[in-house]
Amino acid sequence: MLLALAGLQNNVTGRVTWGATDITSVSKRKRSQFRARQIGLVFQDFHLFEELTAKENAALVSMFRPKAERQGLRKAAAAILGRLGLDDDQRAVGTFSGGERQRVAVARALVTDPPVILADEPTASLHRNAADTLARDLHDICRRGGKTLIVVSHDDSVLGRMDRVLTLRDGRVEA
Amino acid sequence: MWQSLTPFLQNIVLLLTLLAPLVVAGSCVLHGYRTASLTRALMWRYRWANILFVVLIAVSVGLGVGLLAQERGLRQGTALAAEKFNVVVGAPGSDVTLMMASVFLQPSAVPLIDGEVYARIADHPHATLTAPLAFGDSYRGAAVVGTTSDFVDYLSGGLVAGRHFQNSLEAVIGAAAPLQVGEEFDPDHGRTPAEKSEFEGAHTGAGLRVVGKMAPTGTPWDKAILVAVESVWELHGLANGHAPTSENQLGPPFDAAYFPGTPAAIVHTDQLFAAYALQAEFNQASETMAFFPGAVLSRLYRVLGDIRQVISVMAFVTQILVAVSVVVGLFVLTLLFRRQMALLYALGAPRRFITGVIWSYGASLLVAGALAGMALGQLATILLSRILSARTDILITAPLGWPEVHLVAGFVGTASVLALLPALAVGRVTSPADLRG
Repeated sequence: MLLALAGLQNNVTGRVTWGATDITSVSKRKRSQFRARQIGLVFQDFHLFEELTAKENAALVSMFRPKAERQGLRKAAAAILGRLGLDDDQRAVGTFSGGERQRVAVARALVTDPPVILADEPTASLHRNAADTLARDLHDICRRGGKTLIVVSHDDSVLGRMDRVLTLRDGRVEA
Repeated sequence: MWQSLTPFLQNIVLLLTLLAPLVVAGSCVLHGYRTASLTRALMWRYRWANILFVVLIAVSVGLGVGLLAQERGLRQGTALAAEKFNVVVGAPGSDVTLMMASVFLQPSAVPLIDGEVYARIADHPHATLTAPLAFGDSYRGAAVVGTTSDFVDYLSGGLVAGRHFQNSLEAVIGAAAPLQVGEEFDPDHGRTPAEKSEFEGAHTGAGLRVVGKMAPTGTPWDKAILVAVESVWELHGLANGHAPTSENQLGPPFDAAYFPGTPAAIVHTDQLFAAYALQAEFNQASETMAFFPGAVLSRLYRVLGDIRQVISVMAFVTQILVAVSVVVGLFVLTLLFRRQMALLYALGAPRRFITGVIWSYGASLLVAGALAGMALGQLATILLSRILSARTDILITAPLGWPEVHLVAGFVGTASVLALLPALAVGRVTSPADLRG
């Protein structure tokens, strides 16, 4: 479902509309551009480049953004990592714990300051304490930044922080 | 325009032209992007597969450039070895055989020229130096050659130790001969094991003494032991080239009546036209054959030239095949990257960026393999040159030159364009479904 919301699913029945933009009716290129500016993605199993540092991963999008934006993106990545307690860590993320990796993934999703964050089971790969910390930090950052946070989760500590919870059963919304 | 450039500039222009596809392809897919850290990450993640690829490319490139350089080194080495041999005159027969015997000191049976013919050659007005060569004996694998002290001087440009032979019991050695100044030796009759065994002990008690050492020449003569030609004749129980009244004389003039014969006379002239005139004159005579070793070598080079073309084509085809294998391998390897590329796509990366990451990964492998191949080729030529030099006694040096650099540049240029195929394929087929892994 999150792939469909992010415009990453091609064969979607119906429409996905963000504001005035119907992303199901635009070209792949336009969808890609929309996603790059408007949506931040957090995955269950992090999807990081394990050989890169936290800062390099968080600022990954700077590699394909215009030159004028790169410096700003790298600074933003450093600032967000600092807020998440990972500033100045020069290790490759392959050596990080699960909680640290997911925080890097969150930083990557936030680095372009998108209005929408889509998170797919962000705490599923973490132990309890790390999951609670991440759920709290993700929620706080999105609330303070005025961002829309959409999470797919089975984790009560995540669901308990959400303004609205929809339950899906057999592909249908229950409540 | 092209002809007005110096050879160096021509080579540089050709090199840049051959590398142009790499630069153009790189500019097209990488312009405006920074892929270096991602490429580095991919290289490190699949390092063992990457090392295998680089080694495969390096071996192919190394073989290609090594063979080409070696062939050129062999050609230059033989040309250098023949440089001092202006005109060779011998009895009619095979000029190749006589050249191999006289210039490269290879064991051969060649007919002799008699004293009257030799006298005509030595007395020729264009000849500034004429020397007989008498070979057939050896010592510990080194040829024992009878000649004159003038020829020793001419060949080596002087001695680095000791003095010239002054009687028929003295010898001068080449720079790499298996003897030292002051040592005594008894030569073996013959060069081949069969000859030596048949005539074992024929020269026992000869007691020749080494009195001088030549400067290195980079030719088979470095391993030779040179004695007065009279010494060789006397050892074989023949007249020594001089009348009994001058039996202690060494060197020219020789008395035709007491001249036992020589397989070759080496003639030097001061002027090029004189060499041609002398060669033509003795080539027309029925009892002699005269030739320029350089011309005989050129004939052999023409055959080698065909071989060189075959080697060049083989090297090129091999590298094309390797380039194709690399591209196929890249297709396979890039399957491993699908998750990472799907992530980039999900983050909003343009297709061209994804293509650029894969291409720069493939191009890095190609360039690393090509550079390693150049190093490997250089190493192989050094080793091969040493082996060939040891076997032929011809100084062979085969540094990599522009032809090899161009071959490698052509390979890199072509393969870098081919590497666009897997890169474009990955860029096109990257699917978010791969994120689910």
